[in-house]
Amino acid sequence: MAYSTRKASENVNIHVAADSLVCESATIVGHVTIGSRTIVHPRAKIIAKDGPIIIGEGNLIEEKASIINKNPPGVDGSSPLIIGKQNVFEIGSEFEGKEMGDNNVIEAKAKVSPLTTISNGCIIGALCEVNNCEKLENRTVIYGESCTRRKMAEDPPSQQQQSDFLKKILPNYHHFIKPKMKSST
Amino acid sequence: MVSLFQTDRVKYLISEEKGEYESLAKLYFCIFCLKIRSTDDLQHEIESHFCPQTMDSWTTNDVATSARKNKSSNSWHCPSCSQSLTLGIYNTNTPVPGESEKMMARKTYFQSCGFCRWTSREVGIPDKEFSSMSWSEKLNPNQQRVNSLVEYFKFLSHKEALDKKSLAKLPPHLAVTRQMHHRYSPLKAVHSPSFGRQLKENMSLKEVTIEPAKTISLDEVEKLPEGIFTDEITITKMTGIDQRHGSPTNQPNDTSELAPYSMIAFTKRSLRCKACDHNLIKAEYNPASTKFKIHLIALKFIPEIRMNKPLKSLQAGQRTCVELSIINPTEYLIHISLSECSTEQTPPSVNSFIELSKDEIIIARLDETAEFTQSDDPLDSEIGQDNPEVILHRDGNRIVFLCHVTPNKDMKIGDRVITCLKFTHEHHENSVIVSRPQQQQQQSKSTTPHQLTQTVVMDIGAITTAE
Repeated sequence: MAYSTRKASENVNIHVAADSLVCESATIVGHVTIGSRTIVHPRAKIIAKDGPIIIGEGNLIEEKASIINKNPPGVDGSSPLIIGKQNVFEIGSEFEGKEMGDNNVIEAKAKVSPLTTISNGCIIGALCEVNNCEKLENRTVIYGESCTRRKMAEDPPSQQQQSDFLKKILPNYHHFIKPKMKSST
Repeated sequence: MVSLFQTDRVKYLISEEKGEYESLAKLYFCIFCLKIRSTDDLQHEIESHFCPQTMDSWTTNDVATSARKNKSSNSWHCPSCSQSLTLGIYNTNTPVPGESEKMMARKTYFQSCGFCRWTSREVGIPDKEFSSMSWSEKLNPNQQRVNSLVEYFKFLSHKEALDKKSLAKLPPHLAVTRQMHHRYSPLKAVHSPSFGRQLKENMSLKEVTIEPAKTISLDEVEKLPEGIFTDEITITKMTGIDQRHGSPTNQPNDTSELAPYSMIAFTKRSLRCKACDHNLIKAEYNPASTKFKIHLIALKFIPEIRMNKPLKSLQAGQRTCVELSIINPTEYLIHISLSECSTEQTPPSVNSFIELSKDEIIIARLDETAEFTQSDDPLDSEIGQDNPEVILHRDGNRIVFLCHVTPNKDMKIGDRVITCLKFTHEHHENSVIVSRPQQQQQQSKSTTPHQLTQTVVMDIGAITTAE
């Protein structure tokens, strides 16, 4: 699906929090709310097709990651896509589910279908596809060629160091969307 | 399957008696016996052991003598997914002893797997202070019993060997009386020359006793718990079969008992021709290097035949034109003459008829500087003009030639068409490596090349259309 290459800053429906970093060259279409301390890398795609997208605090959305609010087949109408805090969407990952909790990691090139919802602390391994109609339990790890599953005893390590580093380095190389004041439309 | 050397399509004959065929990429060439060898015809010797993760090597002598044998000391496998483990660092702030107000940054280390995200903390293994040499393998609960059993068997075998020796020297009719004297005589002083020696040997043999294993009667065995077949199981707590086999000494049933196991060392080995006892493959000692000191593989000496293009259609009974390419890997110009296999030599799987040109094909030598040097004269004087009906294309040390294959009439759609051809090529010796007696007598600089014949079996493709 081709979206026009207009800059994300021209999209009037974005609400960007004050201390988040959203690169201008990211593709953001539709009603999207991005929470504070979230970093959206260049070339990320956030497309609110079938409803608004609400992204929480402290998330990391890397290059070529795509978050698309798509209805599962057979469902009509618009419903919001809610993403919690401290999640990481690594390079090339695709998330099309309707809900995600906190502290999850979606590794490179992993795909989550519109039928799945993810709770907290899950790790979807690289190149794994999750397309069952289910809610993944807390701290599930999916890894390997045959998408083997496991339960972890601890949450995935925090991304605080990475976020701090990016906050220092990214402004030197990219332009960001300036967060709007509440009074303007 | 796509592969560079077409390992599943083109196979060379290794030995006529056994009728084995193998792709050239997997074969070796003994320049002393002038024959193709497969790994079955070669004996291997282990040169060195090395750890695949840290690439440090140790000699076979160390392996035999040290207690750790062929296990790496610092590299571990993840018990959950059998990938290699990496060290994770956890920075803590602990109070400095004595001064309760200051905080000291300390690093503790734990093992973590990057693939399945297992950590050594999940099973309760405490974090270590030092990054290397701190982790040890889980002890085998039966190790003590195994050790005492091994000692006892060693004692038994030693004793048997001694008894045999002492009895063998005695004439048979005296053997029993001698033995009785040795064991039961009160004086224990039999005047024989071998007495002193035997006394010493018997004294060096320490008596080792062993407790027989305990046995339990069937009534005392614990009964299975009541709900074992009806209770719900938590799958995440159970270990899988691969995980249990990872540590065969103590196969854990529960994921909380999983522990990292040592990485087994890889070996570098050298291959030797069984017939003439010369080394064919000898690798370098450095484990990180992929080069060889001696590298006599078939691809370097035998011209390689490949299918040039996939065939569009094959029909049973129809004469099809097949393009094959030959690559000359040697440093000399070679002459190749093709011929069909005679009926006795044809392997049973061949199900088609091949027509080959009778011309001798000349292929230029391998010239590694060809891409850098300009050559205005494309055809060498020796090569001359090519017959365009036979040789389609010539490019340095590679030519593409035509042949015609007629699959048998009774073949069905989907059957693979297999042909066989023979070719004779030259093998020039490098007289520095090989010294043969007749050459030393002649003392001539130019060595006459040996003519070698290879039989090649090819899978051209499947029948696509019926008649």
